Amino acid sequence: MKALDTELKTFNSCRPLLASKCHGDFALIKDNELIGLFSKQYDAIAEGYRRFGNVPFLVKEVLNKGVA
Amino acid sequence: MPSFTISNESCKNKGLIVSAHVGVTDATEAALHRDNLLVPAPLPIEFKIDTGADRSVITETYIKRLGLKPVGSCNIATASDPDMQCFEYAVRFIFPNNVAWQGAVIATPGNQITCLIGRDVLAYSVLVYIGYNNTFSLSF
Repeated sequence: MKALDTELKTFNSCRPLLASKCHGDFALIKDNELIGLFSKQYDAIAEGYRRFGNVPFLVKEVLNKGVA
Repeated sequence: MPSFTISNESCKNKGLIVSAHVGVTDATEAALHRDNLLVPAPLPIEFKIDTGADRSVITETYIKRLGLKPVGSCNIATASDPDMQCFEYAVRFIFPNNVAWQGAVIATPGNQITCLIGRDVLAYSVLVYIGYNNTFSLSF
């Protein structure tokens, strides 16, 4: 399994719900868990490093349409 | 406003080239310190400023040397693959005069692709190119 596969599946599963409410925000996801939503990408990245350290995690912009 | 100016006779032929450094972000550095891990020194890198690129790109060689893990994923179109998955990494670019930018950039496999400063970085800056003088400046 490639890095971030689990996180991308998690993001894609919750994206329809998020897109209707949080379009343009950045989702921070680790494994199967949505950690939070942030208005700025770097804030989500900083929170990821604060919580998990230098390990893979996913920060992804929530858009109404697009490819994950 | 932090800025730097570069004068180079090759601007016309080679483009707007910047010698800079790439290193870890302050958030990464804090996490590495907390976990008693070594913070890698910034690496010298050469960028081309590309207003036609929506994202900044560096090669995975730098990512491996910095020991970074992915913080994002995206698909890009290349000459050989119209839908290639790439990972995104959090990095800090350190330009001349210690002008710095940090955020997530795309890393591509191999080392054949020129590292690019795209509009994701330029969106926070003022770029002035004085063509007849072979000079450009970038202010943040």
